[in-house]
Amino acid sequence: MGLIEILKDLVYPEKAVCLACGRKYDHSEIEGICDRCLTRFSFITEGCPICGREVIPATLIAGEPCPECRAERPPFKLARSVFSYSGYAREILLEFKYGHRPDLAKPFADLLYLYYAEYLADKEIDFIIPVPMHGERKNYRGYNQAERLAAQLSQKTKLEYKDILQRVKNSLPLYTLTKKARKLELEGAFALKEEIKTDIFRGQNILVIDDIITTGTTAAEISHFILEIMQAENVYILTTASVPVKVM
Amino acid sequence: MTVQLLAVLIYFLFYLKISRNSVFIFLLLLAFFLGSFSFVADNYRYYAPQSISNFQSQAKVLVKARLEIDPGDLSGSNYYLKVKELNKHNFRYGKIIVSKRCFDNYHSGDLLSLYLKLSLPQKQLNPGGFSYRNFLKQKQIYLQGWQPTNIKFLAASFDYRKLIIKLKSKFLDKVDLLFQDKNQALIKAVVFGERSALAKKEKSLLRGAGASHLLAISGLHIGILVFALQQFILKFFKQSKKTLFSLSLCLVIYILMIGASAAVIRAASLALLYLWSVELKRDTDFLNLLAVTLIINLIFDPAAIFKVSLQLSYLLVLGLYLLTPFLNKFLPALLAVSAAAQLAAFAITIYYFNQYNYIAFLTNIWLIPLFSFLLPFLFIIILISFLNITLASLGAIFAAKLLNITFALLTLMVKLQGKPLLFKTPPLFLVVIYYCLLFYLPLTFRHYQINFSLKTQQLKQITVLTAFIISLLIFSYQNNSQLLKVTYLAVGQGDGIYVEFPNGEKMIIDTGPPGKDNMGIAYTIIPYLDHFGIKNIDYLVISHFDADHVGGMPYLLKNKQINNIFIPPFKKPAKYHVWLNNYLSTHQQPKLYKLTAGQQLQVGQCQLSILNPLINKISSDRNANSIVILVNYKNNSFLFTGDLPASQEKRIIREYKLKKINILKAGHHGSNTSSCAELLKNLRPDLTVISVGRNNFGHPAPEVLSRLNKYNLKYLRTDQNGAITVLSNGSQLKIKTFLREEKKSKLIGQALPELLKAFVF
Repeated sequence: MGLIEILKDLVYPEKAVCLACGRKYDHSEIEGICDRCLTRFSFITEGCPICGREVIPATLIAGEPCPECRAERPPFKLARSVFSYSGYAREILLEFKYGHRPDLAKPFADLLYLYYAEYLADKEIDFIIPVPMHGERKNYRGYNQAERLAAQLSQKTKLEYKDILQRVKNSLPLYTLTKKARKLELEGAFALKEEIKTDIFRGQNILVIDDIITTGTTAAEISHFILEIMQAENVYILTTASVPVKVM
Repeated sequence: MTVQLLAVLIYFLFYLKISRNSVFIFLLLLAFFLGSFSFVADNYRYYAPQSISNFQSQAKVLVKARLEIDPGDLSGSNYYLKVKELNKHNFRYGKIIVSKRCFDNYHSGDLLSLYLKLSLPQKQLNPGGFSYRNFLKQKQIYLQGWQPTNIKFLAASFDYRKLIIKLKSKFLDKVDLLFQDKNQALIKAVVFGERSALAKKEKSLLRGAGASHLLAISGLHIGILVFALQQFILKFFKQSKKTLFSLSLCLVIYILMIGASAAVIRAASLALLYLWSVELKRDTDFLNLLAVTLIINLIFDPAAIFKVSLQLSYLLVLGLYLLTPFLNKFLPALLAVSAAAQLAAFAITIYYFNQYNYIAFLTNIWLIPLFSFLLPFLFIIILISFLNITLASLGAIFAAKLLNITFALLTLMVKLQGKPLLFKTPPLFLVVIYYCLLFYLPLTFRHYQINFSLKTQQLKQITVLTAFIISLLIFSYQNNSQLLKVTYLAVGQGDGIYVEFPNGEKMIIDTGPPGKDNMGIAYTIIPYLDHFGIKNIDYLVISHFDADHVGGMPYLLKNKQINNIFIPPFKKPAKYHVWLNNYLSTHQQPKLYKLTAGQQLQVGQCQLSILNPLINKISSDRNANSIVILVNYKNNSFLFTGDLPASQEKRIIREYKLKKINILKAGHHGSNTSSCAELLKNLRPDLTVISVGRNNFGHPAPEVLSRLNKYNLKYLRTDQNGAITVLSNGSQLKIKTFLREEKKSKLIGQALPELLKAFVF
């Protein structure tokens, strides 16, 4: 019986299954998510040159920074996101975050890598750091999605992965708060893990990985921390998704 | 070498497309391993001590062998003998090919004893030529048998072929009953794979129209049949498992009946694998299944990987699979399919056949739909004829009408095309590059969901496209070497010399013997010209009108464009004079000139002096009238003497005070009537070429050979050395013979298995 099964597997090998929709597929650019699903993502190719978010309507900026970045230049050098946080892509990302689907980290990291290669490969980045999650929340959800993404990406990019930050304040879930309240909530939220020396980060370029940019508050706050406390030279942000900037 | 290159090509394909599917590459590697291993094994078998290829005897040999009849070729003229004993010695490997005439009363599988004359099949003697020996060797046939006598029946044994032949004969009888001559042959060929049933004319019609895939039962056939059969059987059983079993059985019997070619096995196993996948509830992956069929093919015939049919068939399928969706973006579906097929077939066709029938593009557009209807229809008629002959003959009338239309359309296609395109044989690496580019091209046009690198992609598209077009241009590139090139072709018993002047003008001196059905020239001079992509001949010289010099002329005139033809004056017109006269009265080309002694021709920097015949001394002996040409290129000289007898040789030596020359073509194929001592003494040629083949005249005469040895003159023979090519730059000569030492391949054949053994044990 065993031999027949092996023969069957040789002649008719099983096809890969899409982690997003669960269907089998023949071919896709991203291993793990099928072509059909990818067509339903709205990938950002022309966003704000600074924060990397999609601007709606796009014609308004045409290569200029979005109004939010113009109002206040963010502390990071630049940020990029793979797709806009809406529709089907949002569902899949939520699944990844809350649905206990760590397997989705691999295809998402592959997506991140494409964006890294396009925008960040020439930036001489030294370390990859994930946005930390508070211990209690990590216990509750099972894993930190940003950590998973960063670890996968560091494998692909051969950049050193450093999990050195921790969240000392179990802040409220940010999506419940306004932009101002977020900033207040996040103040003093980040700290170095114990016994971590910051020497090696002095004057270096740091890439911060997160799952989403909503208003950019977390990105700004962590950038401040890295630039000031750790004395890094530049901070870059790469996230899977971002909420579009709507210009009225 | 070929295998490695192919493997690289396949790996390249794999690398681009299917990196996910590790099974696929595993299967391919397995296939290539199998292929190379069995190639070595095949070679070993050929050279092994128990192989009949080592047996040589001039006398008749007592053969004990089992008769094998190929069920796929009942209309052919040959049977095969699987040898058990030769002169009471046991032999394990090799078959003998014999004419079937004397074996009418015997069946496949019968053990016979008989007396046979044995000979090795003809090997390749000319560049671009055909090696009958290798062709047969691939089928494990090592010897040809002649004049069977004293055939005795020893024992019968079970042979599946006997049953298949019985079944097939029944079908063929029905075809004879239902259809008339011309259609009979076509239906036998197209439906039952009886290629030999077709007359040469129809074969060349089909080939010329680019429909030779109909001639050889192809993957398309099987596809159409499987589809039709499936619909039909499904009606009976309503149950897919039973349907599948009966379908598989029918298909296997049919394949055995038509003789399994690579394309047929590929198509049939692909179709069955697809059908069974539903039953087994498994996913299918086209490329993976294709690799499986390749393995199946190699199990049936290990040497298949070196055969045109397999290579063409797989490249075609890959081309259709990869290119059709791509071309479909720009072309309607039917055109896209046809174009994809043409692009995929192009390079490999050129590589093997030099000719490319571009009209195939058009032919297939109407022929394939027509055929998809006609083929199942013919099948149904033949099946019905077993039940009700009247009904079937009604259908047959209709089918005959359709076939007549098909023939008329095919003729039209050939007329539309005129002559096929001719390309010189490209180097193998160019063919490989062509396919890499061709299969890579659609990938550069793939649509990406995330596309940053639109510009790089466009650049890639343009680069690959231009590289592809350049590779196409290289195929048609003809370079001029600026050398004088003289090739004494091995045309059998006769003369056939090709001269290419430094300015690119081309001359042929004599056309070899006619052979049966023009086989003489069709297998020697024409393939040689095709190999180098030569369409036009500026000068054709017929030294004299004996059949072994002029015999190929009609075929040459029909197949190549000849601008001028030079002949000697004559007393009494020979058979070919009459033919030529008729031909010239209906054709513009070529222009006819009579050459006589004293005339001079300047071709580029070469001086051609005509030394014979004398205009006022035309003899009734045709040999004595032979045109003799002395070609001078700066410091090098060549003398072409036709069949000039010794008396005239002495005359030209005295009259023109000829001194040393470089290359002499020995007069009259080395007969003792030519190459007299006076000639050799005066000319002292660096090389004497004897253009000779198997003959009953005793050419070359031992006296001539000893005379050459006596004066310490080097000579080469076309029957032993193959085509002899002399290149001259005006001061230096380079001599190449087509046959070099054969020992090398023999050594590899024997050494490799030994090496393998050493590794394994």
